Amino acid sequence: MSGFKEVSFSSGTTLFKAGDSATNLYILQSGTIDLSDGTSGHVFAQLGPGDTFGEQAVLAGGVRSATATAATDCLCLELNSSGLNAILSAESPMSNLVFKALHLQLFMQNAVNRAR
Amino acid sequence: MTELASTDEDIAYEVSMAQLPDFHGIQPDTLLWNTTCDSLGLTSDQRIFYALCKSTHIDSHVFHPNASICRAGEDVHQAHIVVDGYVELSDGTRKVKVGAGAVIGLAEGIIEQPHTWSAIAVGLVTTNAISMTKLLREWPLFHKGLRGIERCTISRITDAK
Repeated sequence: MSGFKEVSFSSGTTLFKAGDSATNLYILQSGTIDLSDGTSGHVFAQLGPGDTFGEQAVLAGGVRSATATAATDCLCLELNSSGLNAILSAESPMSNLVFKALHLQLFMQNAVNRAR
Repeated sequence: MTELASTDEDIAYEVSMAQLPDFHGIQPDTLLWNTTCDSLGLTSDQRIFYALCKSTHIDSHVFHPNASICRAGEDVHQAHIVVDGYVELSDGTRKVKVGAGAVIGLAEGIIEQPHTWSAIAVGLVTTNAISMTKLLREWPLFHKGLRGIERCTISRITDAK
């Protein structure tokens, strides 16, 4: 897939820590990734093949809100923020719009759930 | 009839427009855009919302107070991004009020599921509407990697409901 680089991580490797500036997003091809709270270390999500992670911070140019650790040996597709911008700039206005608007809908859905 | 849980005047979600900057023609998805957002200390959703506001490829709609924007259970013909005003969302068990930056029906429309929310304009509301017919026609042409990320985002949205 153009723009994406295949990378592997050994079990136990920390891909990024909460508070790090966001440079890459990932699509998990094989293995398991733990997402944990940067302060307590509590694992709040386990990701499997097909899951993506790190995209919100890269899209919005922010910092990581969680720590990602390889729970097993993992194979990922990695895309950096320049690569994402290059893909988005080559895409149609509709594709750009949908990519961003879906992330905004996720922000809203999470906020609505917190308000329940 | 069961009384729905209401948040009264509480706003469950709204992108703050307090820091709405003048980007002086700087285009989204550029290094200059990102550094400008950094220097202004904008939040993640502010950055995405302001970038969406620059889009000229969507139709603007105005809804008068109490107008129905969509109904839960109906097919999604248009997804809406709230640009100005407040909207009351109801799914039959809960009611919440949302403002600018709220996105209604997009994830559901892409996977051809009906609207989750009934949406009513609380006051005068402006939205940017995305035609699902046009979107679904173009969807297969989107970058494969972006579609993979989008499918995951859609699952997170629909699983969280």
